[in-house]
Amino acid sequence: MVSTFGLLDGFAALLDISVLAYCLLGVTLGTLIGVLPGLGPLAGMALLLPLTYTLSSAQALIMLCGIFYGTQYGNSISAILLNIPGDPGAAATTLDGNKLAKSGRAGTALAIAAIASFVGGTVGTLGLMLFSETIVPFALQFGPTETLALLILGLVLVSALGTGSIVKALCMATFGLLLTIPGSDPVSGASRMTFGFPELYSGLGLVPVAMGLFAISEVLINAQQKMSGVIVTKIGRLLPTFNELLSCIPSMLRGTPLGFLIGVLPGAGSAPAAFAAYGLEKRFSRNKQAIGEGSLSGVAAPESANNAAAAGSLVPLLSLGIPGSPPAAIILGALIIQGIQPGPLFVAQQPELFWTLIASLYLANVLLVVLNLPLVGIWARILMIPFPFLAAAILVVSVAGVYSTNNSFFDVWVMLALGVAGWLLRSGGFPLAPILLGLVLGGRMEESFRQALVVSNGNWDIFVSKPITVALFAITLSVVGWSLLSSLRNRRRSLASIS
Amino acid sequence: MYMQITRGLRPARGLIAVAVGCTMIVAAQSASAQSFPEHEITMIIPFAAGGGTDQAARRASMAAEDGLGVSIVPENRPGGGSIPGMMEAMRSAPDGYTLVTAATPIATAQHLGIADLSHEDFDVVGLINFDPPVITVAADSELQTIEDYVERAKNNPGQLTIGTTPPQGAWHVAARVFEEQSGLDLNIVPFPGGAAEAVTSLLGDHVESVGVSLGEVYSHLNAGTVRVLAVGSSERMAQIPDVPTYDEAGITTDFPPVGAFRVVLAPKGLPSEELEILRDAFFAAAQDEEYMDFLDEFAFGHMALAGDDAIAFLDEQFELFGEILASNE
Repeated sequence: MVSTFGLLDGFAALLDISVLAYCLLGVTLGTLIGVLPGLGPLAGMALLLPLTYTLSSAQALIMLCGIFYGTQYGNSISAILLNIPGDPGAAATTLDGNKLAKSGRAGTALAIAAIASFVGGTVGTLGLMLFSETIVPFALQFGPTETLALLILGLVLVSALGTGSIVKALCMATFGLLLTIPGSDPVSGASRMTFGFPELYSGLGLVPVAMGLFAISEVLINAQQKMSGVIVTKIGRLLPTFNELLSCIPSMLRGTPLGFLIGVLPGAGSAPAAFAAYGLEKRFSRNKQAIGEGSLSGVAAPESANNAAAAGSLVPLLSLGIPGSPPAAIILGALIIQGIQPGPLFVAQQPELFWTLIASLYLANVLLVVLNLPLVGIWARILMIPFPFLAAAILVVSVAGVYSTNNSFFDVWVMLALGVAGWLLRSGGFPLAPILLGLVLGGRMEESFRQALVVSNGNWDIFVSKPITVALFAITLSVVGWSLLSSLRNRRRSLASIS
Repeated sequence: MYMQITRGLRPARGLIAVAVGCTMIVAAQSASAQSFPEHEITMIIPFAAGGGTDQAARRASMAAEDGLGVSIVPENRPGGGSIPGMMEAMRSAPDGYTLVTAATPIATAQHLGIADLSHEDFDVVGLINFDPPVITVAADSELQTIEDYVERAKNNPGQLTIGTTPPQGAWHVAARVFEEQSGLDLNIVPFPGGAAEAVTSLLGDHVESVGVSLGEVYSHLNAGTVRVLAVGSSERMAQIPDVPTYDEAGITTDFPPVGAFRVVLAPKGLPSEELEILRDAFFAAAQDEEYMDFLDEFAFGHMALAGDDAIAFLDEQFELFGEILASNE
């Protein structure tokens, strides 16, 4: 694509103070929205969309993308400090991040999250700029069977989320899959287990379920333990040492491309990307034993992945006009409101807008890391607020946040019910992250499985007749085989050492 | 943008009235004589901000503000396949200050057992848009014309795939009607993610065709990556003047055109004078020049129907959807 307008012109356009101001406004609002439990990129962007009606198309696009990127930074903050992901995309970050915070390393974890977000976001934006045209044909190859194979691989990679009993983790993943049953039948469109609630017709919302499981149950658990003091009394060191940072770099380098690729695939989004990166880390990281016990790598991997996924989800939007995720759909809407029809010709017809946007995405990442690193100390001090005050704030914000997404009180009841369920399950030692994973992957698995069988008129050969599908199934089998083998070997070794 | 359009509209008020004819003048006169509306009107949009229905509803509301003399405040109430938003409007006070822009689920919800809800539970204000289906294939498909398409389908019954929405949306039923009209047996593939997902699948060669609105494939058509073979309306569409209608392609039409529509509804029991004022305002809005320019730009279909015409249209669609969905079993 020959264009006289390039990246440098994009940066030049950013010199316009009003454009710069909207980028700053977007990332600041995004960070704040991300921190608040229940308010993620989707709710934040939908709420602020009307503000963009009076802006120019560049200003609107830059502000919305700033919010989008900003929420990806912000949502890790509450995940690390309070064990409450600001949004499902940060659920994987709670696993190690909160353990670090409780052991007095909140500052280090927050700083690593910000740096990993910067790496993921910047490299992701680079990928968006350089590889859009090459990667789109590849992403289009993912039809129903390829998607199914990928989702199964994802489920296998992360089946051992967290530590503790594998059986309990599998039970919870199954529970998550079961939560995808209420809704509409993907083929016949009939109402399925909605119990007369029309709100259930589009299925249980990811945000209300995630906020119930994490935020509400966290408050209930602490209330049960009559928690009246502060979470930690000492903040500790704020910035990571050079060696700590160095040890996280491989995790970021694994998480970023994985997150970006998953983000490009339509319908995926940041939560599966973060979980997949975490699962990859747990299996293949050099210090994989430490993952799940409060390891910085366990923060760096999902945080780089969910930011790279955010950049990746802009690829199908900008190159095909197809929104790959709900936040991308809002950006699409904002463009249409501006009278611009994004499509395959977007870059050719609107080079100025495209390059200004790309430049603003780089700038947004720089602003975010500059904004977030100095704030680490202030955020970490949240832990020194007595818990009863924090709990009240968490409850108010989660209720308001969950309500605002659909203007629906039904979602609030879903959150409260799942909160009680989450509290009971945690009391029984069941991990909660696999539930979210089952919910995220399950609906799409059913859709692609049944769609494949509709396409093939019920012929199962379709699952072994496409190269990408077969390759993905082969990887899944070898991952399963490899872990079986290594666990057998470990057992034999421990038996040998006993005898 | 929003401000500019609003500003641009006010001075154009007289022009529109002339263009639309006396309906508008009568409406403007009666509006000034009547006490309704006294304050702003809420327009519930039961879909997410930024989607097709959201766009159409916002633009039509902007145009209708002119005839009503008050502002119309859009309120998105997404989720639940648009049923909760419609129910909220249905339960609101029938005073004319709460309206809703409904789409195809108003004609399918009852048939699919989603909710006991149809247009008969509302006072119908008017239709503001109708999108006929377009049968579309990838540009590199060997199916060059609708005749090729019919031929292929005839020789391979149940094999030729056509991507649509699931049955609660318009495009599944539109594809079923196409089958009935043409006597073909297609393989209809539902995409729960919506028409955009079906189009993505077409570009990746996972389905051989899609039957969705022109708006959904328009940017790909302009980029030369897809080809439209036929359009399921009674007349050709202005954006694709070379594409034949089903009629012209020799596919006999026993059914009325079926597709996606957007309709403004009010809670049942509105005083008839207020209903008339709203009907006139939205009838004029649906023919407003700027509104129609917006429809053309994004390849949405035109349709302006008010009062009894709109009710007759909805009755027809409701019955048709019921018939087709019942035959799915």
